[in-house]
Amino acid sequence: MVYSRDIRGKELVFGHSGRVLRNALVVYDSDSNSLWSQFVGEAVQGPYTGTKLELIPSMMTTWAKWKEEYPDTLALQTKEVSMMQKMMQTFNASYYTNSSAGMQGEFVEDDRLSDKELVIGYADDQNSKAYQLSKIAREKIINDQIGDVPVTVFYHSGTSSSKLFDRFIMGEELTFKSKGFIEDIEVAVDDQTGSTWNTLNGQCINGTLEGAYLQPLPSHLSYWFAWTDHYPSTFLY
Amino acid sequence: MVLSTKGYARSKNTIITLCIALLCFGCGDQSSGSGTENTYTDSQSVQSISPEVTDTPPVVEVATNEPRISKENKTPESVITVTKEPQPTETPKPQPTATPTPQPTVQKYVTRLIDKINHVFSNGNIADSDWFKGASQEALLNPSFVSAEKAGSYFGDDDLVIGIDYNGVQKAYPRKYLEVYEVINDRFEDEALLVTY
Repeated sequence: MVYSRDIRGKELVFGHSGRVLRNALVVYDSDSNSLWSQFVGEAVQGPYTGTKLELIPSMMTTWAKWKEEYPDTLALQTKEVSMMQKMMQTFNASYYTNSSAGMQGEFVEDDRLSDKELVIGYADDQNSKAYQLSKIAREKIINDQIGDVPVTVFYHSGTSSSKLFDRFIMGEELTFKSKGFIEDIEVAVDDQTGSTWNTLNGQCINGTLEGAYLQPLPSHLSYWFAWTDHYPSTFLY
Repeated sequence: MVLSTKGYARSKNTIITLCIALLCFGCGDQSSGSGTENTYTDSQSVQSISPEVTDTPPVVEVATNEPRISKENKTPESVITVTKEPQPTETPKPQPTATPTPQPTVQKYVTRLIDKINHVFSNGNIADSDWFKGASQEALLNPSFVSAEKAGSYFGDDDLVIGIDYNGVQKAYPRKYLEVYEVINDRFEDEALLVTY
């Protein structure tokens, strides 16, 4: 999860709190020592309680696929990790493939999906909704409505990732259809203007809206059990 | 992030079974069983647990690897026994009885322990007792980056990365490396970002 660290004109610096809340990392800021839940991006204890961090769109994909889409990308400079940290990595490797739900077990049992099903989740102050990644992959594009927000969910097979965008642009609510590939770019076409859109970054690459960008909506990849632990009243597509 | 939650997942049932076993052990050792030792009210629980949580604000330095045990050592003995239990890091099977406590109070600790576990698994609102204390780790501040060609050993073609395309800058962070550091204070042009996993 990626968040903005700028809060009310102040740049916060975060560190580990050494605590975990509902299986999610808890961080603190060195300005106020408030504790923040990493999963929901909100301060849960201390002076900043209730303050939300702005979620920045990010994706998880393989290095080869990422590099291909973004050849100019920078790569984090890594250093040798300690023996203890190596052990932790080994532990984690098994966690992705087994069925255990976090180190505290799950808090909310929700059988609509199996615990470790991957979902893309969206949450605002009123609503939360999850989309099963495998379902998005099948449908390629989903035009949906979450509360008052008209959303479209794009699947990008090049990176096996998915992003949510606001369908409302230039005073119009658009609906999208998948159009396969145009010159190696995975595209969608909207029914209203017939413009062509890049499904990776939401940019209009051809048509009357050329150059416009769809507004990406804060969403993130998560296991189903983790999503429902933090958003128990979530809708599921 | 939740996806990365340390591998030492333990089931609720295991802990509860362990506690019941301890409770039986406690009873057996103490045939006369004094009633006063067993009475343990909720208000006591709040008193003993909450100061530990609220009075121990996280250490301010960010990029240190210092575990915060020093403060825990100052807490009263009883609290240590209680808070130690849900800490799966290096001790997969915590044994509260191993602490040098006088026999008659064993039952009290076990009761407290069960109470604590019930809190942890109670699925209640965010309360002090919901905190699950794990090991402290290092956070990164102003990390360095290299071009894609110079990417290190964590960037195998099939290795998963967290990719961010923001403010005209693209950066990739290997998942395996994020599992270790989890918290990265980074910057995309003018904007300060927090990358967590």
